[in-house]
Amino acid sequence: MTSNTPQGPVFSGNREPASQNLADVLERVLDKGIVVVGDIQVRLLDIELLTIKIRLMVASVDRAREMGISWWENDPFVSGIEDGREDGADGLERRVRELEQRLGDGESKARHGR
Amino acid sequence: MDVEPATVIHAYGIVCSEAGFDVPDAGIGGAGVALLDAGPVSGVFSILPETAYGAAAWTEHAEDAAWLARVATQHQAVLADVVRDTDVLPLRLPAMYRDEVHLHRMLEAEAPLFRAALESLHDHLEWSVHLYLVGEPDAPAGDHPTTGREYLRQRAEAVSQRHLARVKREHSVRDAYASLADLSRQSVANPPQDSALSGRPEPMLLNSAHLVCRKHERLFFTAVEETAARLAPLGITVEVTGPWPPYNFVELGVEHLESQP
Repeated sequence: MTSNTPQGPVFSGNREPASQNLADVLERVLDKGIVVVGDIQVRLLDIELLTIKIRLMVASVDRAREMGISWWENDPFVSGIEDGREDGADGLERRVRELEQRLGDGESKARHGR
Repeated sequence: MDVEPATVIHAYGIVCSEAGFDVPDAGIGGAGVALLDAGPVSGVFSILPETAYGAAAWTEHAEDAAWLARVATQHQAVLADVVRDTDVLPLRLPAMYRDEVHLHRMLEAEAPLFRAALESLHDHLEWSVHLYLVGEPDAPAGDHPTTGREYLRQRAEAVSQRHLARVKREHSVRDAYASLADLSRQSVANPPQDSALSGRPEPMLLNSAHLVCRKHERLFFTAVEETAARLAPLGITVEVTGPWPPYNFVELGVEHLESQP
């Protein structure tokens, strides 16, 4: 459906395999939800780094900026939560540091656990 | 000496142990889905072949969008079944355990936190709202310019019209978000999705998630319809997906709990 006429709200069930929902699924399943450090998770730093890439892919911030829609970045009312879901280079670096720290913690925990 | 297991446990989510619901028939790769009771909470899980879904497989497919999309979709399909009947805390991927003993240990260790999060999110579902800019409103056609000066004047006016339209659009999007947030227990505006993933060529103006009580769903949908009617003249269309398990709100749930004395 590529009608150019805006219509009423479209309700899509999330079981639909429609491609328009893939971004919804990936952004949630790989970037949200409860993180529990599983016993195998420690070895999966690659995957955590990957989810950052996916987040950057999911959020086309630059393109949005070009259009002048970047209000969610610094509007605490609109962004709802204070961590602001930052993206771009700064956010990426910060996240990588967090991951490295977490990996360090995981390793030391694993050592203590032996 | 560790013997590399031939299977791994994939955990989908966490439910209250006394919750009544039909365990979905099939999970990732068609594997059976089961419940692991750890006292107050239970884990929804599958036993998967280690070669296909173990840590090495995840690393191998780290850049394989099709593989990730399939696993993510199948993970979500199980949770979508569960959330229709009961509250569930969704786990972020990869959520993998060596065996049932390790999963049980984790569930038991975190049970008070999970239990409190489940109670705090009880009867709430997540709905996703997307606003797309599907068309610019038609600019009033001016007279055909007869002089260079007239041409420049018309062009400047068109630029300023477009600017005004953008400002108006931005206000309308904020208002739309605020009115939906009013009917939600909690809301969050995430960055817009890229069209490569969303499959939609139109620019996305809002990508929000709303935690809505099952009792207030009808009110929320009515507000969505009213919002859609208000935004249509601006060339903006509204789409809703869901219900989702509260992916966007489980962290808030946990924070909320931790701040309690």
